[in-house]
Amino acid sequence: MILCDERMVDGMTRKLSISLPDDVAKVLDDVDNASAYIAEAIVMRRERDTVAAMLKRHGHVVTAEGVAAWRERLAEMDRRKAARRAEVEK
Amino acid sequence: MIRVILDASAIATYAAREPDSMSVSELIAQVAETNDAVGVPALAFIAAFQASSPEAREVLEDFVSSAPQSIKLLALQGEDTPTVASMCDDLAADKVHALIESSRYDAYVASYDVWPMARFAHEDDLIQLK
Repeated sequence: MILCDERMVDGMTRKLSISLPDDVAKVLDDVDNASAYIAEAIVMRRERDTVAAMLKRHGHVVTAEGVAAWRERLAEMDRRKAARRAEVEK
Repeated sequence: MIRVILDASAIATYAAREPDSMSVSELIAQVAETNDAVGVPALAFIAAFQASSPEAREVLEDFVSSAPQSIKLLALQGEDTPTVASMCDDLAADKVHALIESSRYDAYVASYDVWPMARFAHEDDLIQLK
């Protein structure tokens, strides 16, 4: 669970006090700009949600298995491409 | 990063919600999962639009406007136009545009009909949808 309270800093940003699980918060210990890191994560999540909503709106049912199959297939294609290029560079 | 380029067959099948379209929708979901993007060449979009029903055309319009970070409509650049024209006797314009963008972004081309492109691209750069 994430808890937060917020204050307006100016028209462009809001200052939030958030509570994170220990293991999640620990990630932020090693980043230079925690706010930027969190903001980027939120933007990325929002975009994924936007795509998921669009697919649903268009009548497409996406399965976790189907997405996982593409993940594996693209990773394999990436490996083949990298190997091909390495061969060319020899 | 643009990871996959769709040709007209992929776009039209998606919009028509044909039984096969799950393949392309799950590909789109996977690309979005890694915060990469799917490229939609303008000529492929136009060809798919021409081949689509009024209902599917509404889907297409929504498709290229809903998630601009993940679904990127790619204009045909001026300098690429002669290439498309010179190849139009051998390959449909939407596929030529898809191959050009594939080369530009180092992305794969996904299609329900890849074989016409096999003469012009390495097979490992083409994704046969099914």
